[in-house]
Amino acid sequence: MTVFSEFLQHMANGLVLGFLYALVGIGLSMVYGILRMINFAHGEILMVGVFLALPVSALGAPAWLVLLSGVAGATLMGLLVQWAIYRPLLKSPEVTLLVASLGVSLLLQNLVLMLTSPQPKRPDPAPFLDQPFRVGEIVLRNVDLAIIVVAIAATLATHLFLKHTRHGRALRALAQDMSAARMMGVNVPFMVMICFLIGSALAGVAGVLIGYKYGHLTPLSGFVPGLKGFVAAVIGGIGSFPGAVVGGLILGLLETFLVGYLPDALAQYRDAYVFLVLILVLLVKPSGLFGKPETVKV
Amino acid sequence: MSRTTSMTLIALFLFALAVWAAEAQLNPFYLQILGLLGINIIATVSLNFAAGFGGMFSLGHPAFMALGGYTAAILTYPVAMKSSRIPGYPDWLLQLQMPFLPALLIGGVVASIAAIIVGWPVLRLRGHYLAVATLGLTVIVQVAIVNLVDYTRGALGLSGIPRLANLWWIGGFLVLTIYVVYRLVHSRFGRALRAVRDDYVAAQMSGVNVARTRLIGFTIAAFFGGIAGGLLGHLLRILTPGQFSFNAVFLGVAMMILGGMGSITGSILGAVIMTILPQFIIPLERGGNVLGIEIPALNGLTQIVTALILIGVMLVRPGGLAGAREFSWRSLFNLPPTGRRRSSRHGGASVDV
Repeated sequence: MTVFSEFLQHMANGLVLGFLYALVGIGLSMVYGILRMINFAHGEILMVGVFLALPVSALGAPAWLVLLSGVAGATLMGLLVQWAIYRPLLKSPEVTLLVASLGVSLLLQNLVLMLTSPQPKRPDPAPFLDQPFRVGEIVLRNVDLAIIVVAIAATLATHLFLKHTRHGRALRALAQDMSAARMMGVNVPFMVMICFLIGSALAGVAGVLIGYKYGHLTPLSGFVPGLKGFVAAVIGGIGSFPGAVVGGLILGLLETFLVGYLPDALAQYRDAYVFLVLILVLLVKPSGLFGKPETVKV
Repeated sequence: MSRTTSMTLIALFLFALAVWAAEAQLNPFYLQILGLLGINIIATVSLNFAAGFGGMFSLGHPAFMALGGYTAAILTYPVAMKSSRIPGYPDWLLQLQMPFLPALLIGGVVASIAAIIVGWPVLRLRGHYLAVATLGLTVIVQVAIVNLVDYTRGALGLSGIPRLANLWWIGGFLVLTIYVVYRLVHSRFGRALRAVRDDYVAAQMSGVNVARTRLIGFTIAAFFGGIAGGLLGHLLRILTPGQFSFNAVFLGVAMMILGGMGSITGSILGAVIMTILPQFIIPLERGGNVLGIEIPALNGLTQIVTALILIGVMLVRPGGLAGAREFSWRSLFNLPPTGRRRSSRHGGASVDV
């Protein structure tokens, strides 16, 4: 393998990883944009989604049906959490929401741990997804291709929703100025629900795709993707939709290249690099690539 | 000597008496739980200093504890075992075995340096990012401990640490931590810190150097976190990366939140409840016959209870049990107030994240 094709291979792997981060980051970024809340339970919504999809997969359902059930599971869980826990706290200080989301994260992790066995699980293998897919010297699997296609489709759908529908406009207005949006007749609690619905659905997509790609699912599987999704959102500029997508891709590429080109002894620290990147971004450009500088509330 | 001072001295004397009686009478199991309780109080009070009084909601306290703990343990580790168990260090460090106190303090300093490195870029920003950046620090420290096998023995855990911490050490540092935090909160610096928490702009207008005040407060909290970690290693005689995992983050936050952010009394209360409660839950986790009722093994029950407490407190009583109130002799015995204004009576702890 030549140096150049090795580079291309890392690039392809990085893009696949990046699309997964982008799917997670969008939900976090949207929620933050509206509520100024870091939703630590976002990764757990992803995890619950894919765990709910596992029985469907065990019945021998095709992959697209498993994906849909994962999306449905994550969405229901996200809405349940939002309705039962975040909604009553909507007017509380930001730290209250943050602590509550920490609690939800811990609760979901351990509920799933208690209700299932601790052994890692995987969706029933889909032979088609595991087949290799070659472009020149780059080798991917069909599942990687599926990740790229599904992620682009989901992102595009969200983009169109935000730009070209009434509710999308209401969401954007809410992110700009909540009280002004309320005075213009935007139904704030309903739109917050919609926001969680979209974020959770995208997390569900990411969850099932992660399940098919890595095939190693534990109740802790959602935590690190959730954190990295947040880092992706910060890199792109938190609150910005294109920012979350671009940030996810940058983070995926960066992580893959670092792991690929660093000597083996240093490559084990991949999770640590992601947060070093976060600290660097906060140091150099805290508002991210697409973000507006944070206005100070007086 | 005023009446409250003499009461405090009497209380301290009784505390020392209790420590002496416990050391003499209790079996090692209960001594260990009491030791853990003391360490948890030190950790929670110092976390509360940053989060409750300083408005810097940090999820990196376990990382500071790990840094302080591992540093102190490596400095007191018996020379005879060092080169076989943790051979990665240079020769002079392998030949070195320090007394407990300097090792603990150096551990605290190492934790403070980490706090400055993380805090310097992050604390200049308005809130929001600190929680994630410090959680990232916890991940980084965790990954580093697991992978630096020659320096920390990795996931196996660094065992064979001399058991230097007893209730006297822990009790001593407990009193010291509470005293220092109390005095800091009621000093010029503490007022500046709370002013920054309550209103960033107004504090700046009043001449407070916002970034510096926050960084110093964060560093002090990390120092005591590091001390707590050092005590932990020398109490349990083993340090593993698992002790400083996400569960430790959650548990620490639960202790602080349950007691009340911005109250030292609350932190003590929260740490007591959250240390004692799991001792009753752990038997349930294993399953089997409890009080004549057959129950299956319930993995993760402790964490579920912790989580429900976190969520429940937020929904029902966001200020925690104590709110921002403090214990005082005056309110306990209904003594007349002194002429000095009670500075502990600020409003609820409003923190921006």
